[in-house]
Amino acid sequence: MSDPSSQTQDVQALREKLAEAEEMLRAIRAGEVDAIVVNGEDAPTIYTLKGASDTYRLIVEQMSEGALTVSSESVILYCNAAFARMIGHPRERLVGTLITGMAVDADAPMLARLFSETAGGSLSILIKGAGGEITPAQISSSPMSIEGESVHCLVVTDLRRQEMLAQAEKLSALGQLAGGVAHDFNNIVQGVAGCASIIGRYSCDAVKVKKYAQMLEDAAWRGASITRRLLALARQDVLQTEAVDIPTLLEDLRSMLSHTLGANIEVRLELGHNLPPALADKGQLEAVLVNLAANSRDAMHDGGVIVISAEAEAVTPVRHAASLPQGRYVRLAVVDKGIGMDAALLKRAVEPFFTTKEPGKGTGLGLSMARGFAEQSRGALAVASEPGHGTKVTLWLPAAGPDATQCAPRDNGLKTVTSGRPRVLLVDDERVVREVLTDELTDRGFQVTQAESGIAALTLLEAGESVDVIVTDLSMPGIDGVAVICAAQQRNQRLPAILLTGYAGDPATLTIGQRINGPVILLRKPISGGQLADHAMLMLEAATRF
Amino acid sequence: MSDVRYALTLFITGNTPRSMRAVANVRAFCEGELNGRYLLEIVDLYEHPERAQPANVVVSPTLVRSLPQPVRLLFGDMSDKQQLCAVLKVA
Repeated sequence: MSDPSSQTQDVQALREKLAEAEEMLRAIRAGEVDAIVVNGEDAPTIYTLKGASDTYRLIVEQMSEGALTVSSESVILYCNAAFARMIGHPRERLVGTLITGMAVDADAPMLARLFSETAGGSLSILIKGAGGEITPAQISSSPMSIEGESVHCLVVTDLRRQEMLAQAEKLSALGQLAGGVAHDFNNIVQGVAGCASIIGRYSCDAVKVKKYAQMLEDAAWRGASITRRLLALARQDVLQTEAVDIPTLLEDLRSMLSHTLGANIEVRLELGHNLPPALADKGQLEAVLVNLAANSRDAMHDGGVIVISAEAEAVTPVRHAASLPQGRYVRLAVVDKGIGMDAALLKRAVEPFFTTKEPGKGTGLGLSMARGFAEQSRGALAVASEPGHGTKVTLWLPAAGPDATQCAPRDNGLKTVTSGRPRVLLVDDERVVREVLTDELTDRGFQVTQAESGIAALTLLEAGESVDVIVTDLSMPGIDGVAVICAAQQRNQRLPAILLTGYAGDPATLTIGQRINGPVILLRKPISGGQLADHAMLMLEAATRF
Repeated sequence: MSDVRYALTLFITGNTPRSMRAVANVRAFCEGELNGRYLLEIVDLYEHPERAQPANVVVSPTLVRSLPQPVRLLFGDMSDKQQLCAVLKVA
């Protein structure tokens, strides 16, 4: 039997427990609690009476940005783990404190004003971490009322982290791009170096020299095709559209692909009847189709058939699946029975730099370039794929109208000027470009005077150099090509001028029309001697008509 | 000054205003009245429902004083400072 004092203590403890139980019941009845915990056989169940939502709570807790609720007096009522990490304090030390104490002194009043406003808003401030470190942050505030209490919901973005992420993404994308482009260029450089070496050794063997010179030129055009594809991706390239005979192009392509894709890949063509020519840049279209065929090959590890089809399609005013406007189109498709892509991969497939290939095996630019090309050509691109069943890439290009004129095809033949020997002032700071273009133009009947800079060109003009046409590089140190042309045309307003540039997106090119009043055309490097001579002759003929 | 040390656990459920008010009020009380003589743990019952039963917690928010003994419980948003002082027996 216990002693009386012990009994008194027990009674006192029981009274306190009873008081506690009564207090709890009172709190429940008065609506002062949020949840009731019921202990089940396996695990307790929490019955939420009012308030928090599990879904949103989980999202907020997993956000990489800081999330807070703050009273109108700037007191932190809640913060998520990300904000606690950003500040460097445990959460329980942050709740109940003034958020204004976390801003640097100069920014604290601005932050306090944000919570006194009823409309909410956004501002950039510097916040202080636990160790005194300063973090630039963007704070967005949305005021709301919870159970009659006015609070502000904040999202705090660490601007430094955001910048680092963007930088990391950019570097990763550049790395992938550099790897893929290096792979393509190395193949070309390998060919160029080999050809040059053979030409050097067999300089007296005209047949060999001719053969390898042709291969050198082909390699150079392949290199040019890569830079054009990159520029097309950046939508800064100018497409040279022409009416492209699709059956001829696809036949040529099939012949080329059957030699390059590997022995276990068959390329089959399916061509519709009455196929109109497509209005597109022929070189770019070839590059796009080669890329798509290479993707198909890579998707069929054990080989198989790649079907390239072409059909005419008339798009009616009814909304088209690929959002094409009404008109006549050529619908090209590259179909394989490869591994295919699931919905998630498919969604990302046309993103620039996205690739499923190993590093160095591809740039991830194929499909995004194809889409860029299709859109620039006023067409469209669609990708359909299913894991295990293959992929179909469809490309719509506008059909060329009956009056579509074909652009001058690349002509490497040697045509010469028909009358006289026009004088060309050739300005370029790259010696190799100067030398090669001089020889090309001289072979075609022009007299060429070289200038290695804008200043040298102006000096020659000042000294009275007689010129019928001026050919100049756009970007040069000191005086650029536009300034050279302006100076030359001040002396002779009708002097034909050709501006060469390796970069169609150069900001200077946008203002050429405003800066030059005389006849001028802009041509993109690389350009063949034949093309340059043709343009020079056309401009000279036009000049003589006035 | 008393050197009694307090071990407190506040059980809340997520970020409801009442739970957050409870955290803020208990924190303010501890800083103002217990002068560093306390350990305060905040337990979110959504994350740790298994912590409820051993502590005899059946509603949220609940503040549990484990030390000094005996164990005492307090309910609601802890906005009544006098009640906090009385129940926690803070002199």
